[in-house]
Amino acid sequence: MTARRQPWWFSGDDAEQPDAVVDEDSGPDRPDGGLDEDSVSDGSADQGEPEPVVTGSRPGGDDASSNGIEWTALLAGAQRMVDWATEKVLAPHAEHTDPADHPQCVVCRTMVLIGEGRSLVTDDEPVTDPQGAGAEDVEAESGPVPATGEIMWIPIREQVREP
Amino acid sequence: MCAATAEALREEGLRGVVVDATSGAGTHPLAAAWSSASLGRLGAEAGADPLPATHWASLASIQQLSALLHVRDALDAGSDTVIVDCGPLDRARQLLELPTIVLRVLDAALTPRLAMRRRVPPDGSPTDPATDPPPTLFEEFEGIRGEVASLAAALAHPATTMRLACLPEADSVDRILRATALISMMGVSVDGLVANRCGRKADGWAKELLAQQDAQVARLEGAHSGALVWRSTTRVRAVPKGRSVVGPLGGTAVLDEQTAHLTAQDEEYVLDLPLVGAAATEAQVGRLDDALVVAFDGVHRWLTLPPVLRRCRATSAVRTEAGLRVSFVPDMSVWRQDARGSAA
Repeated sequence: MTARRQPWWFSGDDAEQPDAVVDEDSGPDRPDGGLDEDSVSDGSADQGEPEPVVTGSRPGGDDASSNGIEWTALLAGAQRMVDWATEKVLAPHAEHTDPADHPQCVVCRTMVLIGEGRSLVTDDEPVTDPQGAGAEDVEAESGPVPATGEIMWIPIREQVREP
Repeated sequence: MCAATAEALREEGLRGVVVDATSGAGTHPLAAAWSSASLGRLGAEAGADPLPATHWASLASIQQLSALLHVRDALDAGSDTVIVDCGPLDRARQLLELPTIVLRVLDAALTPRLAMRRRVPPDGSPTDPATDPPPTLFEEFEGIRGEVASLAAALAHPATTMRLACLPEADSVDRILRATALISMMGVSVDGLVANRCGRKADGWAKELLAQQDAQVARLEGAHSGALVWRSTTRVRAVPKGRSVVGPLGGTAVLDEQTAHLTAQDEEYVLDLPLVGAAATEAQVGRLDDALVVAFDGVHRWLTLPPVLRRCRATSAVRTEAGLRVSFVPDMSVWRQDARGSAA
């Protein structure tokens, strides 16, 4: 009697399962006594009820380490992804001041989508006096430009006397 | 004036209750719970030292909320009419404005982040969610918001009216006319203006003084605000002779989502905002997100824009004798488009 191997996706945090151990002498599923390679994830024989599996070969192949994960290869791959992201995405984005001007940049586009891409108010932006003074500077055709969190006062242009 | 109105109600066989909103009504238990249990808890969880409940209850706004809750209690108890003594004009204005301000603050506070906060017991002991599911701050604030929204709705109800009293003097008339414009902008109709403590010739008043007070009463009448104007002497007259105390007396045009009139023109939409008195000539109008704001005398009246105007840009406004007329043009960046990409 030996402990049954859990599927690769099972964390083992749940309660003990009564059928957690099986007799290794019990026969294989295939009539010919062999193992169905498409039904195993790491080259070992799983028994009992069918489990969700991953098909295809892993980078380590069937000769992977005993725990089924090639950590060195995974780390190397992750490092390459970080290097690629730094070189192709973050470095160009560092020169972008206004995300709206760089729709081709993944970071800028994401910032715009989540609503944090609005640049801060700069000194050269037009300002409307809340009391209406200077409102004549706002062109009627374009209308006031809305600002987040601030009331945009509407210019009151003339007095109309109705009969 | 409130006592006289209550007496007039009794003479007409109606049941009226007077609520003193000038702190005489006392702290309502619900308002006390809101202030200490919710606001105090929010502060405590943010790291503030706990405060005694009386500190919170002493805040002026808590007293005003208490007065409004007492009014609601009186209405729930089956009173025909509830008379609220609002005190001086400044207090009346704060009383009317408070529910709207609290609603906007709570709307800003009801965020997903707040929804994730759980109750932390004062002694730090763990709670058992299975036996005592603790309400979140979000749930508490949401409950408060519902209560305050009902108070705001009661204030803006068509059956709610205000009657303002002034002395027949120039300064007092100036203030009451501006207050009439302001209260109407806040969505409450003013149905009566009382020139109080008017002198009479029979009481020995000088002819010149009588002429001066006549001129001030004429100013009230000449404002054409829509409110009924009458005089009262040392013997307070709650309503003019021959009138029922429950009205109808008069009524000013109020500003709210229902009275704001939307018209579609050739290339723009026009929204007419009814304003009276000084508000029609001095109010400013602005926009914040999906709300229109009208500002007058330091008070901001928030109106939810009709759906079509939320896809438009406000271009300009003009003053009319009935108030403000705001023009909107479609914002093509958010306007609905058909499959060919043209505006629908």
